[in-house]
Amino acid sequence: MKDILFTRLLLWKKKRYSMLFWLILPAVGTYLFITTVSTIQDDSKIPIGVVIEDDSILADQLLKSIQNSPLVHAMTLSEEIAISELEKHELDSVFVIHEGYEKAILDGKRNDVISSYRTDLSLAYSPVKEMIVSLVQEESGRSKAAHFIQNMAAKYGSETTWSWDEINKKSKEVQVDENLLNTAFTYSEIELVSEEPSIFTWSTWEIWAILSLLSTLFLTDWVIRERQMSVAIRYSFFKFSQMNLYVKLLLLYLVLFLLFDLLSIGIFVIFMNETISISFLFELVSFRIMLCLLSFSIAQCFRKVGSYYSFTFMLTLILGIISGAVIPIQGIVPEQGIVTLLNPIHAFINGEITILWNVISIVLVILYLVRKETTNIA
Amino acid sequence: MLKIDSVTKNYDKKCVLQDLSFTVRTGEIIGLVGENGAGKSTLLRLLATIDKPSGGTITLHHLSFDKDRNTIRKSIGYVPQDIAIWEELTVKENMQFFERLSFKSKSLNELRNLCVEMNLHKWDEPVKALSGGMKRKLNIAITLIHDPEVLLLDEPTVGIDLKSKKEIGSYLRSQAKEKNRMIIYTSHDMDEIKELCDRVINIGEDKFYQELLQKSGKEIISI
Ligand SMILES: Nc1ncnc2c1ncn2[C@@H]1O[C@H](COP(=O)(O)OP(=O)(O)OP(=O)(O)O)[C@@H](O)[C@H]1O
Ligand SMILES: [Mg+2]
Repeated sequence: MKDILFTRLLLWKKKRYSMLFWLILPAVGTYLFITTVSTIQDDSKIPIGVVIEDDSILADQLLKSIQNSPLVHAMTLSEEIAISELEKHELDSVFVIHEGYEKAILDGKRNDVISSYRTDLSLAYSPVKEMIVSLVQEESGRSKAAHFIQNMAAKYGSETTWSWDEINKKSKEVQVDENLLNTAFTYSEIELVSEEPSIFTWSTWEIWAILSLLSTLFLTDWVIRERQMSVAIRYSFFKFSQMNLYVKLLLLYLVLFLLFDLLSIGIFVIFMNETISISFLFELVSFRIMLCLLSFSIAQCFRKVGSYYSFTFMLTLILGIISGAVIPIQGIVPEQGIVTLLNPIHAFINGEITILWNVISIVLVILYLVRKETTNIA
Repeated sequence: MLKIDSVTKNYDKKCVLQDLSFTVRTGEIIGLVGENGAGKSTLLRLLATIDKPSGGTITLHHLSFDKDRNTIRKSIGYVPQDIAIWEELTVKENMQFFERLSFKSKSLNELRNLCVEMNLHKWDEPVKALSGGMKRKLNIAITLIHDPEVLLLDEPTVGIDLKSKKEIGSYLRSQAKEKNRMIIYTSHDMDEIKELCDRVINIGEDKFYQELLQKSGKEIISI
């Protein structure tokens, strides 16, 4: 193995830049893609200013609800700055949550708890206002119910007492459950993946999987290059049999890829708040082994690198599309069936260990190596 | 002793070599001559075990080329007609690369001496910056790394300057005579063939080379 490593390092050194490019492409490409997309999505949101005068839990909750909305990009500002930004048309509109907001809501009063500023150019004012009003209604309805329950409990001397927070939480849970039920009813065959259906969500590891497929295929072009080169004739006069040589080379490339997968994990954990579980590591390693073996088998089918590269691009594009990683079209391709079965990256994207395609790839590689060993001719 | 017995080689329907028989003794240098396309390279590929004859047998010290291929390969050094070296590596790196994977290990010093014996004095130069003749010298040096008993060289000296040619020639001669190696090589240079070879094998129908060489008094086998 030392000899194989030594000789490979000699060759890798000469093309270190292109190798490095392909090796870090999955990590860096995914990072750039996801951050760019989320910036663009933020840019397409309506900028509004929120002024908070009331220092209370309810006011804070309302602010969070507004910030989580896919429609707006909300910034908290002082009233003065907010108005000057509004005059410069940096903000579409400004909403002020007045002091006493929480008290008013708890008392069931909904009037004059929030006021707003707008200009002639506040084009999105109406829908934003509607949205905020409905959020306030939701909050006040919930707190009213909570108070009602608490009062009843007090009145009839129930043994269990609920805090306002508990009731509030429970009510939210009920709300989420009902939402899911409604959705399941409306689109009975579509799995709901996003709570904001109007806005695409790209998953980091899906993009990574597609880019890894591309980079692994590209980095396996040595199989074709070396077979075409006149040095290939000398491979018959090595101390390793061809089978031995290729198994070792495959292992070496696998280790190299896994090292850079670690880099990907590092980048995603540190910069993109991804969390990694032990079971995910198994999924990743099985996916990576499959990629190496499959790329090797595919490269064996080509005589020219040019046609191999074209095929590589097409394959990546097609698998990207049917997996829903490049264009999020979950629901168009049926979740079960022949298409998913034929898709080697499906298992990884769906959080499973890649088994079927590892078996297929291993069989292909063994068939190739045994054939090479038996003919044993350059 | 290398024994070639009724060897035939067909590509599809086309017969390239027909019923070829001869033996090569240790310490002997054999020249293969014949017009372009006569089948010289084809014969060398068969002897190098990287192609199989369509009929007949080849044995080396009673080891069968068919059954003991892997053992036989350790004794074979093959210099292909096309230069088989890494263009992007330096001379030193090329030597190191093939030494690491070779049947025999050699020190860096020994590797360098091998190049010097081939009259190749560049060492840290990338191969793509070398002249055609220098590449040929490296092509031979790499094949010699594992001290093969049977040396098969396919037009090794094309484009090599006369002085180096003579030096490589005398090196090959010393290898054959002092270390009892068998050397089979092809060339279109009749002066070289006359000077170096113990016997000459004329491949193909054309007897042009045979007549040319007969005047020099060489033993010529015509097949
Ligand atoms: N792989 C192959 N498939 C089909 N025909 C081949 C193959 N290799 C060689 N031939 C044919 O066999 C014949 C002998 O070729 P070979 O290369 O052995 O000739 P040669 O004597 O070495 O010629 P040269 O002096 O040009 O090197 C040629 O007619 C060639 O077309
Ligand atoms: Mg030839």
